[in-house]
Amino acid sequence: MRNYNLFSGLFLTALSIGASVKAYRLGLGSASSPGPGLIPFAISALLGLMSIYLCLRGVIQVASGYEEKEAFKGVGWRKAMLILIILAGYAAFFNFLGFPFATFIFMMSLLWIVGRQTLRLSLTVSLLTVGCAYVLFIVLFDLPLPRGSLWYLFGE
Amino acid sequence: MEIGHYILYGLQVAFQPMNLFYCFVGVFTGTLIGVLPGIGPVGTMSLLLPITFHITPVGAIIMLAGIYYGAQYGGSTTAILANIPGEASSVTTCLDGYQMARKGKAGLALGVSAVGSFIAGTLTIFGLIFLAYPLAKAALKFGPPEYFSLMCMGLVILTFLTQGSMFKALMVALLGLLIGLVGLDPFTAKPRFTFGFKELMDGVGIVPVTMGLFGISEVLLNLEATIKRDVYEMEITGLWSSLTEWVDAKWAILRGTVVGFFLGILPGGGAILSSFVSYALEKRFSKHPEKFGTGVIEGVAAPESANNAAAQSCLIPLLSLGIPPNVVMAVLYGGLLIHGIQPGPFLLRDHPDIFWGLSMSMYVGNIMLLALNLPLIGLWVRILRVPYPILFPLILFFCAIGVYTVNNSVFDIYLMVIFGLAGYLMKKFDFEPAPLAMAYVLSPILESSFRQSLSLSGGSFAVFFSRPISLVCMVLVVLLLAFQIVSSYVAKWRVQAAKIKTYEGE
Repeated sequence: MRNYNLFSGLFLTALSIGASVKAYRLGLGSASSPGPGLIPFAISALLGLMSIYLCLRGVIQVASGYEEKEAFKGVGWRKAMLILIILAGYAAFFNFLGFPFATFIFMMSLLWIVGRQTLRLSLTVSLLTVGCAYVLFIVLFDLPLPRGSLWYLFGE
Repeated sequence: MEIGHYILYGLQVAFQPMNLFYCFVGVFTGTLIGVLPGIGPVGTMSLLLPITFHITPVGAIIMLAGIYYGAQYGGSTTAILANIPGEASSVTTCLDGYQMARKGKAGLALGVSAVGSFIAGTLTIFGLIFLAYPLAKAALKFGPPEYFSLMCMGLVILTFLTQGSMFKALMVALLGLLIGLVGLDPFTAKPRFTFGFKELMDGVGIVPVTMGLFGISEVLLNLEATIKRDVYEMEITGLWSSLTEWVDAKWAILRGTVVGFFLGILPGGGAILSSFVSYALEKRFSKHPEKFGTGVIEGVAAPESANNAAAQSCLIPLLSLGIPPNVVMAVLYGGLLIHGIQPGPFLLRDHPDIFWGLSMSMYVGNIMLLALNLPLIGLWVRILRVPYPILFPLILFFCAIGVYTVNNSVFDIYLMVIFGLAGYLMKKFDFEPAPLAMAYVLSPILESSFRQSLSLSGGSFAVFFSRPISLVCMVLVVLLLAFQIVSSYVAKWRVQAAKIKTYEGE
């Protein structure tokens, strides 16, 4: 049984219940002097009602034997998740490894592992990217990008 | 004449050497990303937003606007030569443009789309000047209730025009409104939905939101659909050879301009919608509709003029009312706010340099594009040959660095990843991300105008229905929602009726 309306409906229902509880605690105030929670509460309550309706629509679709189209076909979505994980990893090690080194690893993993390019091409493009980015961002634009706390361990 | 004086002033601003340079950078970058499929103006503008912090507000907005209309020029090149829409707004150009190229008329097709865009752009600037100015004057009389209703109307029209289910678009818009409220409450300074993250006190930044929703998720989706790139290789000649075809194109260009101009102003309109509408219109009014899709010049001229007109006319509601009509304008809106400039009726009074400088710079930019585009086609074709597996890591890298440099915080990269995932899943589950971004941008003003209105009226909701402009907007909101509900039931009922008929027939 696969139904995307039901999935997304359930997710949004949970989200809006959480948001409306939080908004309620912020204080609704009164109509003449609305509190900080009034608008968020109204929005999340409305969203909640609509999400429940979406769930119902999903349940009806399931009951009537509606076949959902396949949206996550093949390896595409696994690749997508891998890329997001690599991006998050880039963020996680950005300050520690420093901008040049982290960028090199980031580019290598995308080109070599995700993009399945040859090692030589991946190395060339990664090194070129790091080099050009260094000149552009650090030498020319003088952006405050981290040098990496890792290197301080070696007494720099 | 007051306006003439301002036009001269605008030219003076636009021709300052630095502003000329920013205009050039904007239109050049715009054309480049227009040529490249898989990266659009929203992503690029968010990417360059941090860089604009160091330059003057006028320079910043000149550059950012240049990216948008520049992308419309670039998108057509890819569509004609490679049958790939470089931008979503060039989808229709593929239909006839590529066929023209296959018939050996690539030069003519490229020429007509460039000249058509130029004419459309020029006419739209006049429209912009003569419409935005009185509109801004009228908008000076607007109070919080008018603003609230106007924005409600804008959001509802946007969801109405969004492809796919309006119900889902409304849900997405509500979600966007909630995300826009994250941060300190402007009236009581209470933190809302910050979950203890100090980075969220200022709210969720516009750059991670748009970059995630439109940059990252585009890359992820593009990787699934393998894009075939057969660039049409040929000598590009005969730009001006066929005079009769130019005459055919003349009216198509003008019709496209008018359609694009008005659809650009509409909330939710913009370049994509107007290119589709003008193509359909051109086909309907054509004497030979059956030839469309086989390489007729009107099929290129009309949508290309329309998307360029729309890419410029959508500045009207942004600059005169302070309401961004589409996502791209929402990013521009965010950019202006970061520079401490509130778009709206006071912009013309307080920052005339921005309004008039921008309008005139668009004219300069259009000339640059016309001069740039045709000689540089060889370069664009070469760039098109860079395979996507090499391109996408670079796009992701620029996204990550762009997001990081806004606040020098890694937190924003995480946010971008989350919104990238959200954008990806939304596409998979048939939700359009555009209403989310729009609602997110409008949310703070929507809330403050709502709360101000209620304080004004002492808590009575009648304030939204007792003032004429506000009433008209609210009535339109109700009508649109009612129309949508009724029409969806009618559609369901028809399906049921058809089923019953087939049963009876058996």
